[in-house]
Amino acid sequence: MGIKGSARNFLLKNKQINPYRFSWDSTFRYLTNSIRFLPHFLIIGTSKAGKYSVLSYLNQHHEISAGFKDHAGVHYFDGSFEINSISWYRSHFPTKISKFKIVGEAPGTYLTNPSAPIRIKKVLPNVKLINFFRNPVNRAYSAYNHAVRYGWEHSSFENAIEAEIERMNLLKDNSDMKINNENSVNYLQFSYLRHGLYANNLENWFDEFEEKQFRHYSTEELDENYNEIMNSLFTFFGIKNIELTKVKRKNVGVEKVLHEPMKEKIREFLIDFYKPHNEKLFRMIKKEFQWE
Amino acid sequence: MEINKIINWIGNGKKIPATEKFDYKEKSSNKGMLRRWEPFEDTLSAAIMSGLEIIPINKSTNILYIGKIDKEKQFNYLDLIENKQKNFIFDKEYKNMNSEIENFQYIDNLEEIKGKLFSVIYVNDDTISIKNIINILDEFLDEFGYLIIVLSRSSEKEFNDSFKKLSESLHVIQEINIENYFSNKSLIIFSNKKIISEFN
Repeated sequence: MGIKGSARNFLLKNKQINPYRFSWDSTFRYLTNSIRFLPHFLIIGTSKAGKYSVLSYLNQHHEISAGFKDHAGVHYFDGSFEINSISWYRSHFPTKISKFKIVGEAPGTYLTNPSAPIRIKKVLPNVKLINFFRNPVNRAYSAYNHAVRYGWEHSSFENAIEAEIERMNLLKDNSDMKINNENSVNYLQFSYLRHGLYANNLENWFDEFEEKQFRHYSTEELDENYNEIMNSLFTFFGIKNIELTKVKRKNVGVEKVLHEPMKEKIREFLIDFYKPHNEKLFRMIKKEFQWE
Repeated sequence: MEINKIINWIGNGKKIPATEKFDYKEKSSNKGMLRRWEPFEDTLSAAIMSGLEIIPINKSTNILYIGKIDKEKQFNYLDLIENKQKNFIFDKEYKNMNSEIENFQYIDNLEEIKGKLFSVIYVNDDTISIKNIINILDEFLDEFGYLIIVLSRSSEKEFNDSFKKLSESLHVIQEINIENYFSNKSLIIFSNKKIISEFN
């Protein structure tokens, strides 16, 4: 390893003295954390379900500060909870003297992390929790294409799904093979199938929070009824309703597909696979989405 | 069975992998001690940090490791197999070198282990062609064994060719991009078990 590589490794291993991590902005934010909001709402689910469109709508309201394209969520509760303090988390949000009345973040990944609801309950017991669910069949394919685009995945969609099923079977039959890693990527990047088991994931949340703290929508209904849905959220937040401007769907992975369209055989498999899980979800949230 | 407690070392503001020291466990029945498993220095540890879901190494595993591995990392692997199996390191540059660890033996010629079967073959050497790797797998990988391989992504075409050739004879279990720790590298776990596809 050359000098450059050694220096890089040293700085990566010794973050506390790494000058590249220093920032006036984050230092200022940290020093002023006590006058900053903690979030009033969290968009907990799900990834590849139109999160950036939701943020575009939320940010049209002048009293709301939600995340934005490059910083949708802090990922505190599924990433750095054991390492960073609540003061650190608070430093990411606006001050109480800003124009904002309602602040939130939208990681869209908390839903699938088993530790997230317990951690959030401790820090934000009265927070409002929002889900945007997407038809899990399309969500799985969108997540796969996302992984292909980023060079994380080189298998076909069918083989990637089979590999995930094989991992699920191996973990079921050989618990000594399981790596006890709560790192969020385990629940996101490599779970095309499991990420869509919304009902199973939601059960953990229903154990911790009251039903009245949740709102559940589908990505598909957002496209059609954005005004109605977003204003129902504004009412939920206790702020006035506004007329929203339609935004073009953000970050639509399907437009950048590198692989061929999903084969009919696997679509049928996924529809059958998700059917009982979707029905369970609809019973839990007392609402039905038109997912075919 | 007990779940692996691999991710449990908090250091430098981050949780990183550690293994439970087998040599300490042998000497004492008290609570185990941990051995740090540095992800910037070992590709499997890097893969764990990057989202690897399963680790096919346990007490009954014997490993054929192809590539360079230092003593400290050998101990991490021995922790996982609890020093129960004889393992081999195939590294041509380490001719006639004796490992200080009894259960890791260096070899510079695969003839020395002819007839042996391994439950894990770990390939961490860019200089060996995929054709040679496939020949090694044919000869030395147990029928229910696993291949753990680190492939360079410096050339996307070469990576794709290698991935495709290996996928023809083995079944992908998980592909992990480890470039946060090893520039332009991916680690892939393949299973030798034949799986009949429902979709193709």
